[in-house]
Amino acid sequence: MSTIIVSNLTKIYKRSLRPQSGLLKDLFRRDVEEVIGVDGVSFFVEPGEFVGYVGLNGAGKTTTMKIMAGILHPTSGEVQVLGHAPWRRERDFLKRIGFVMGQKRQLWWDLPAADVFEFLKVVYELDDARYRRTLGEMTELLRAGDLLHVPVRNLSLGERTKVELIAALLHDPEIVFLDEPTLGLDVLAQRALRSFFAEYNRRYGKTMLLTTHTLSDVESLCQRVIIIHQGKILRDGSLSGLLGEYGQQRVLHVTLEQNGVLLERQIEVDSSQTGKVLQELASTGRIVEFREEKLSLEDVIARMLGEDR
Amino acid sequence: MRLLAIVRSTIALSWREATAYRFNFVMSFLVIAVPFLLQVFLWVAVFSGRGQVAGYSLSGIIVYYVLALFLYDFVHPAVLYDVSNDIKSGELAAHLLRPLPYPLWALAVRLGSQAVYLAVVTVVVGAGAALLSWAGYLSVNDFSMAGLLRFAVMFLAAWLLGLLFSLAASFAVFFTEDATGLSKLVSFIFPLLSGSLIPLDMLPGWIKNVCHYLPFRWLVYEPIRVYSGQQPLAQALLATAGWLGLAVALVWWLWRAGEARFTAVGG
Repeated sequence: MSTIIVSNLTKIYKRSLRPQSGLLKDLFRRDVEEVIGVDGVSFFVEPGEFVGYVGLNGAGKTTTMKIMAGILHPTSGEVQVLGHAPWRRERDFLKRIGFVMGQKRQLWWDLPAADVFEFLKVVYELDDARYRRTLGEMTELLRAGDLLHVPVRNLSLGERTKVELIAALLHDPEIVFLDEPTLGLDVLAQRALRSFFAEYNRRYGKTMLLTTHTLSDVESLCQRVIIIHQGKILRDGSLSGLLGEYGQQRVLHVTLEQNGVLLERQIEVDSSQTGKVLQELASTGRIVEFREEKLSLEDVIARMLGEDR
Repeated sequence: MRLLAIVRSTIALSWREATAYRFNFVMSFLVIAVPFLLQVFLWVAVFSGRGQVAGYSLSGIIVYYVLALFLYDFVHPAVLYDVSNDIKSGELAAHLLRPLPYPLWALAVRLGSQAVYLAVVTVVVGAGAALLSWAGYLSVNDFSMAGLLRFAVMFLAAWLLGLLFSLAASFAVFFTEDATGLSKLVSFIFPLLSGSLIPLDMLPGWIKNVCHYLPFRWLVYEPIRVYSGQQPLAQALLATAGWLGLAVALVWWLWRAGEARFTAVGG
């Protein structure tokens, strides 16, 4: 049976409007508008899958994830996660999911992470052996052993992310939701986290869902990509299939000299047309250098969504 | 058992947090001591040349203030900053993911941080009372051991009641989006209606009547009357338990309605 079943899920938000005119009227009356966050979304996730859930800002990614984790109620449609209706937030359900939020923290600023880990051990009813084993494995994988007894406020953003990650995974959840986990991190920290997620998924076979703007994360981690745009699913399939569809497309990076001036050009072409396009360019000037590349996931998504803008 | 373990562990966590900054910890002693001394000077001036005021002797009124001071910070209902901030900022989402009811968590966190404060207040008020005895404003005989024991029981009940009111006030943020207005209202009416500003006997008749029907007097005025034996302990506990029941119901209702609203609109 699928670990996650989402069927025709819709979420409508209400938000208040405050126009600048009518200073007095504003005190007595506030208008509310409805915004469709998620619009009839359906998909399944199988055990052990690592799925990338991508889209532009406001596309509905985080909303869908929050509904699957029980933080938000759906407006209509059905959601089942590990056989539970998430919004009921039953204890058994909450003990089996983990949620990593790049922008929010659950550790206490003034306390060392180890203090909060001890607290989480009690909340999740972890026995000593299991707690020590998971903590040991996580600190080893993340190389965070020397960070546990330092007050969180004294850690760098990258170090803090590591201990936050341990806090979110300490109870050894079956499903892990990753909401922009690498937000704001430098390249090296991003890389370290990426290899941790890959290893975590490979070693423990956890079901993982990732939303991110760093599409290289998705490219290196996920076997499957769901693209959401304006609340609707635009595309759901394997990463290789998606890239394969655009497999004939090439990006040409050309440096051209025209009347003594160097020009940089980027042109998207079908691979069969490369020669023809280069010939045409050569007739307008001298080609100093050219490079031919396949489309990255970022190019593919920009193309898919760009057409809709 | 599990719940008790969680509460104990939350209290431990928030005790560690409250003692994180040692300078703040030390300063909290001074912050209590200074207003207290000012109150004593004020009443010494009021009583100069008079034996009694509204049935209180000078030492009687000082004992009243020693106990009112002891109670005030624990029972004073306030919008809890961390709770209202969790709701406004959406940080509540992280708490909703834990298999632990948020109201219980918020209550235990507060109990933990106030337990630190209780230690501070006990030291300051004890030292203050000793100082006043030495200066001749009080005598050790003004305190009765039996009265203090009765007071300790009432203190615990009033502490819990005050905390529940604080939690209810904080959950109002679900509906009002900001708590500043409510916070101002509470800090304006509470000192007067609870008897912490002046004993309720000294208020005009109609305000006394209003106070009779409100829960606030059970937070300061009545616990002190239990200490002095003017109010039987059993009766006071019964009344406080009644208000506790109402407060629990109110907190639960506000939480359920607020949480449904939060999860419905998004955080």
